[in-house]
Amino acid sequence: MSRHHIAWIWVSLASVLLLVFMWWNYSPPTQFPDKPQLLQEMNDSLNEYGTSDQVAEIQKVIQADRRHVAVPYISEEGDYGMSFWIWGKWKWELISLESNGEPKLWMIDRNDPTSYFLTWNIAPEIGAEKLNAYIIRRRDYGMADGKNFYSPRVQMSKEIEVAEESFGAIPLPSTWQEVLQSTIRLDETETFSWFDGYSTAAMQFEFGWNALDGSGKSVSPEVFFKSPQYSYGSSDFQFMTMIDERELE
Amino acid sequence: MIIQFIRGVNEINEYGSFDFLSNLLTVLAWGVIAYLAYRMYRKNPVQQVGWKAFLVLLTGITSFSITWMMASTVIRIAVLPLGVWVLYFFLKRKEGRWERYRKFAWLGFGANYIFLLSVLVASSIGHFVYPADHAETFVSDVKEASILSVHPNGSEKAALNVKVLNSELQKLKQSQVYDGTWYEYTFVQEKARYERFPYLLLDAKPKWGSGVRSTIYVEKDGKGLLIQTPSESLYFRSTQSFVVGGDEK
Repeated sequence: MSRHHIAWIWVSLASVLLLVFMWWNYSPPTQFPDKPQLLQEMNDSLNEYGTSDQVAEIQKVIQADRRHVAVPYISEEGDYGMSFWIWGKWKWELISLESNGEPKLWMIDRNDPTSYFLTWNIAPEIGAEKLNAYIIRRRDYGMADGKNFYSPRVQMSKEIEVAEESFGAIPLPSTWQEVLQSTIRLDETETFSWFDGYSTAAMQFEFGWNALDGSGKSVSPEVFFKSPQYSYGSSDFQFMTMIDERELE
Repeated sequence: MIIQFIRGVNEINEYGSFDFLSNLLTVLAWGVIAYLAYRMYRKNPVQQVGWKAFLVLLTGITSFSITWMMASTVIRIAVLPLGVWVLYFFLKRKEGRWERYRKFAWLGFGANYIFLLSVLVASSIGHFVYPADHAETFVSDVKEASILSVHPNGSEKAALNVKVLNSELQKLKQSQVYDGTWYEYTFVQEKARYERFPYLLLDAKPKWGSGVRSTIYVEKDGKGLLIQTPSESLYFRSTQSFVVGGDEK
């Protein structure tokens, strides 16, 4: 075999390997599993974790984006829960199951606010008509290195209708993203993007929520979610604290 | 250095600004090192192999150093010549080899001080070209700028008057951050729920080549800018309001 031929063999071998690698890592998501399949998989996981409760009904499949899906469900014990799915290596993977549908922030990449989703699944019985989600950063001031500093309070809200549909998943409002982004940018130069540590600047922000009934009154926190029964899987979630209106400005 | 280069490219992409002076001086520092190495090599080209000398030089740079931040400049003083030690143990195994390459190893260690010098020079020139007490250093190009209300105290309808801001930029006066009146407004008149800086300034570009990063808030009356840098808060006042549609006061 001539040298020429051998070179060609190497080139084609390398490109095949590259193709396989690309496909392995970036293959487009397949069809999301249908409801019976989902039910099966979720109940299998619950069994594996040793929970007695089972998923009774899947409420909806919410495509957060091409590779991320939130699936709200009702359990046999009557809990309103949420499951989270991502397109992993070649298959849709169940990454988290939570029996408590309390509003949460799903942070797929903590350093990238465009990848955050607000998710919720509220029991319709409590009669909430609206959810208000909040992003808050407390006012901060004082002296550092002999200089005064001041950091303004940030408080923005997003109104979510829950009268018709008591569950959902939406990307973080773009204005919130701007605020987070502008703060992350301030982080010390030493943090490299591939270090994947959570931006300390972004940690100053708190996320909260409260619910209003038909007459615009706050729904008392007592009626919500007793104790969380289970929460399995990934840690890319941040609970949103329930906010009393008196804490708001 | 490769990391620094990548970071530089990153900065241009993300913030539309890069640190021209320190990049320029880094290049100069490398130039000086290359020149010194070349002179050493030319003195006795038969004795050593060029690419080996180059590797020795690069290894020699490795050192244990003391690092700290001084006025938002990272100062790094090399203390222990780790790379030189490694080279010594490795090279001395062959008779006369260490003696031939020694100077390149030490030049590598010395390069740390050339870099240190370049950092100091860049930062001291930087203080003149990009003074921290001029708002223009941080806000220089406002053609695409806008404001975003980030507190209920700001008006959703408020908009930035780019023309006025542009003409006021050179005339902005630095003023005291967080004096008594701020405190009084925010806390003594507690029910007012007052935030002095309810707007975030978006898409304003810093002075070309400054590489400064900041988050900028606009005062409620439209006449002040609060500029937060990674190390301090700065406050500038103008005589004219550059916000329209925000209810003043």
